[in-house]
Amino acid sequence: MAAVETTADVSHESALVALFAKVGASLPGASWLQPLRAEALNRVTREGLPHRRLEAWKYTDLRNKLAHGFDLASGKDVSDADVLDGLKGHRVRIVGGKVVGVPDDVPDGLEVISLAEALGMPSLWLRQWLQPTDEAVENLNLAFASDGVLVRVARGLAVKQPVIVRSTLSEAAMAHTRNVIVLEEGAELTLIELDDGAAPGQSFATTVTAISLEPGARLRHLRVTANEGASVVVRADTIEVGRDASYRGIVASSGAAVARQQASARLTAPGAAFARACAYAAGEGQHTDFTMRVTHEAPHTTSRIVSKGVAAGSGHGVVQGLVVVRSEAQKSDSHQLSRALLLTPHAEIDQKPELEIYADDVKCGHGASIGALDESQLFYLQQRGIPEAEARSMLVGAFLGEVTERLPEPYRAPVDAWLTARMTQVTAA
Amino acid sequence: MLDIKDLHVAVDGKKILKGLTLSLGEGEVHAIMGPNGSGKSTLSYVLAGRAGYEVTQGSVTFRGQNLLELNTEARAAAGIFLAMQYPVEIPGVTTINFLRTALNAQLKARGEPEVDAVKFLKRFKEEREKLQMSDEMVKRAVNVGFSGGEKKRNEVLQMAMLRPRLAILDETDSGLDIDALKVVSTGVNALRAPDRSLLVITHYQRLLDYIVPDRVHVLAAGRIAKSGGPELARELEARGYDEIVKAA
Ligand SMILES: Nc1ncnc2c1ncn2[C@@H]1O[C@H](COP(=O)(O)OP(=O)(O)OP(=O)(O)O)[C@@H](O)[C@H]1O
Ligand SMILES: [Mg+2]
Repeated sequence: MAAVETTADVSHESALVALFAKVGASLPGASWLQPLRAEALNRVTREGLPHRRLEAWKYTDLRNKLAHGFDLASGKDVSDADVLDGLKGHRVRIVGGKVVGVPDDVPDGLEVISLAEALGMPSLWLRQWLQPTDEAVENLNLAFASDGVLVRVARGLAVKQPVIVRSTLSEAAMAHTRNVIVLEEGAELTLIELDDGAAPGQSFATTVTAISLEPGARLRHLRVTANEGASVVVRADTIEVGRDASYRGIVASSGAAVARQQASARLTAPGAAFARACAYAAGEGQHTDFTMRVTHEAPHTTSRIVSKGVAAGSGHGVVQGLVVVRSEAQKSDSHQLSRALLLTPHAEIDQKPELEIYADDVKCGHGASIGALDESQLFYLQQRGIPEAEARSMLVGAFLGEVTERLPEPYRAPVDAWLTARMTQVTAA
Repeated sequence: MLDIKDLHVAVDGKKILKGLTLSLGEGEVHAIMGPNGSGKSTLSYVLAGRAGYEVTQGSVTFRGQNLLELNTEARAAAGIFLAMQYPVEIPGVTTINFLRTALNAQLKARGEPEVDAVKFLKRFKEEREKLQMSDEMVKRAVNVGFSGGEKKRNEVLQMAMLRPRLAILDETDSGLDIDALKVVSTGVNALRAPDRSLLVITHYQRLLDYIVPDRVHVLAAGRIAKSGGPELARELEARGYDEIVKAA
């Protein structure tokens, strides 16, 4: 095992080093992975866990919000009701960072396997997605990743049923998972993810997902992050979209003490398209963060970011979207829209849309607004007899519905039902 | 049914109603006319219980209850309906869903069982057709993309579904073309009943040819300046408000 050097004698980071010394050797992976894990941890200890002085973490001081002295989760299962229970699909179950179930009836050309299992094989193909980076959460995740799911769709295959990955963490412990999703040329897939669980104390889950869309591939993605209580959830996606390929994602988040969804997308060839719509409801004691970066690296590429969210009580919503258009990315088309509702005076919303354009022939725009519920709408509903609390959640539901209405059935109904239930709690704050 | 005594109302500290007294019996239809800015909509809002309309003096009794101590939704459940001068758009909420929610909320508040979904839809279709509104229209979000006249029809549709004891129609005729005025008036007349009273706010005699009132009141400078029978409306149409306003 490679030596891990520490320069900062800080409780958080030294606890991680101590933990790595204890469990590092038992983490899955062939010999080539160990030094990469050690290097990743090295970078975490050198730079520290993310804090608010880093631009990308300006509104989410993870280091400050995290307890320390976490152990890795043991994989305890509490199989309660699943928000997406009724949906049919190829189901993957992850509990406490370990894959406990993969589908066994997948069509030819679709591979859905446990990453831990894949890492046991001498394949070097995975190595490109398991490298230390300059991003602290990705590095922390790499150091401790215990499992994850590897999905590969063969060239030209349009998978009919969605792949549904449910990841639960119900222990006051850490779980780090890493997923790799590869759609070969012309392949099509719907990927649905559900994050859930509530622990008796603080839990900390990170999931790093590498998505690679080869030419002409199309991925539809739905993620519901529904963890509750003192959960701290960090999602980091890296998405590479090739020629004429398309990524369309909808991410909904509500319930966790801290839920951060970061995504970095690269549009690497002409015709590549990226769209992500985010919906969030941050109630009392909840912090929700969407931080996205999209880089147009090639001409004729498009990106769309939409976010709609509400915050109430001491809830805090953050949306940061940075779109970079490189000089070679002429005729790029990008739009970003962030809208939020502040339901109570002490809630907080921070929206920061940014554009960095180095090409001269592009169509780029962004808009952002924050408002309160419309008094005349509220009066109209109440005048017809709808009690104030119900009227409020109806209006908020309608506001967020502009995101979920992009979902086709049968996916929309369960997501709307979940959001409605969440909304009732959030608007009561 | 409704007894308003010496009502004084201020909005943002500005006195708008200054001693309004009006009494409306069971099954009666009264019209309120009056110049722009005289306080007609203010009266309708204060009866419906809109926030920001401060009653500084006077009383309002509705079917024996002190109306002013009820909140907005409780007033609706007690049977007060306001067809607004400017109906509000509610994106993301369909008319049909909105109405079912509202009706059930009122029934619940009155301790009655929820409406049967099939019966509700059947009745909804009947009322919609009476008002010559298309199915496509009511499947859209409430008032979103509706023309001015369509919005007014939608108010009457809601009134027909909710069957209030007291309906206040605030310029429901404005923005309606002649055919629509007939359709809407027929809809309103169909709702006239011994246990239902109407307060019809309008600027035009024409509406009162269709919905014939028992009494006509002129609201000027925050109070009822003159009252009379249906012929008063015709007089006003011919002579304007000048004399009355000067006398008030
Ligand atoms: N929020 C407010 N702040 C101050 N003044 C207000 C406010 N709302 C209404 N008013 C004033 O109150 C007065 C009465 O308004 P109201 O809307 O009741 O008149 P109206 O009789 O319905 O007029 P119209 O015939 O034009 O509909 C007007 O002078 C109006 O400017
Ligand atoms: Mg008015």
